[in-house]
Amino acid sequence: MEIQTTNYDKTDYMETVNGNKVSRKSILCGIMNIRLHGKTIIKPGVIVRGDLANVNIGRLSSVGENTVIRPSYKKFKGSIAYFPLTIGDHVIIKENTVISAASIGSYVYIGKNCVISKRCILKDCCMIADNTIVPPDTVVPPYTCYSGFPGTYKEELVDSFEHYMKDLTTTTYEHFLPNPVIGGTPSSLVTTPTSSSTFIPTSSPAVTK
Amino acid sequence: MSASPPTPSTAAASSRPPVAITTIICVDCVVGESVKIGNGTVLHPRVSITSPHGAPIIIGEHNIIEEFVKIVNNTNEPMIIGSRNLIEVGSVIECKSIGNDNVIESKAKVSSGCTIGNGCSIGAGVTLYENDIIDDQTIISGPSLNRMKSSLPLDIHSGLHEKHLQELCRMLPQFHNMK
Repeated sequence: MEIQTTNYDKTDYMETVNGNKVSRKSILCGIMNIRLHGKTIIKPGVIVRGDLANVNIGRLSSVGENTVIRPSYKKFKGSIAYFPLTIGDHVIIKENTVISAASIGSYVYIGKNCVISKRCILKDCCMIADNTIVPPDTVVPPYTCYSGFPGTYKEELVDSFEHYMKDLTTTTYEHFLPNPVIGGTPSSLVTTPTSSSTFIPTSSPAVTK
Repeated sequence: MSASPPTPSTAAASSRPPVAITTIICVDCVVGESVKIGNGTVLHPRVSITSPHGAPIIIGEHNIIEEFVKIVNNTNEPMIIGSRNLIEVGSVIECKSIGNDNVIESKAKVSSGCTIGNGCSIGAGVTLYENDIIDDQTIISGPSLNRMKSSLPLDIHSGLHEKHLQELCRMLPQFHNMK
């Protein structure tokens, strides 16, 4: 499968030593509790709630625009406790999705506009189709595809899904490059699907104190 | 923390919206004019509460409003949201009134003209019809808008909500700049 190269504006993304590319327009709350294991792409508008509990995101994962990753909570010893959220390696999460799962395995594909409700467990190598709403406390077994509203088992995935996801995430990362600096042309004029065009402008607060 | 929350009396006198002492509003929230937020309500980041026609929006006490929630009052009449509601990530609220102790789950849409009673639960991804009236203690779920009468969500919610608020009040100010 051929993936087109997506260019982004270098000023829009921060790149860490481990190769994580994090958009400056994303909101990472409680940054000391968020651990990106390397080569992960976080696109604009993403909210990761590290303030509620620890969030671990594995290698070569990508999180689409306006997705919310927030740890889920449970009643625990008479009070409420948020518990850590772990996302494995080679995971693709598309845009406008809400993730409040307890854990997500490796080689997982989650489509756009999904809701992964509280305390769901997604095992390795599974797929959630677009617009799926997975009810709370669901366990999605390996090599299955869930879709629909409410999300239910639809089909089995091929055995090569692991390799497919490995390839897909690696090529996605390799093709996510900063704009080449062409002599004289301001790089911001090159519109790309990820950098400037799809970003929903953060409305400036109408009333501030 | 950029600014410590003022006492209720100075808040009411000097600034708008009047936000009382334990209310938490994170940065990146959009709160329009003529919006009144009650004591102890928690607004997560990127909440937008707006009223394009300037009609008032009155939000009660001890609500939790999560990320990307949009509360819009498109009418000229006041919109009233009661107390102790939990509005989850990405839902859109355009309705006339919401009672107390409701749970509105992720990506639900409450269309304009709706009236929601007390102790209801609106499931994830549900879009309500316009001008719908939802009685007390109703559960609405699924694409078919299946209705069920039960006091179960109210029992669970009322047991958890206070603890949830306490936890948030403890955690959020450590990480966020407050408005």
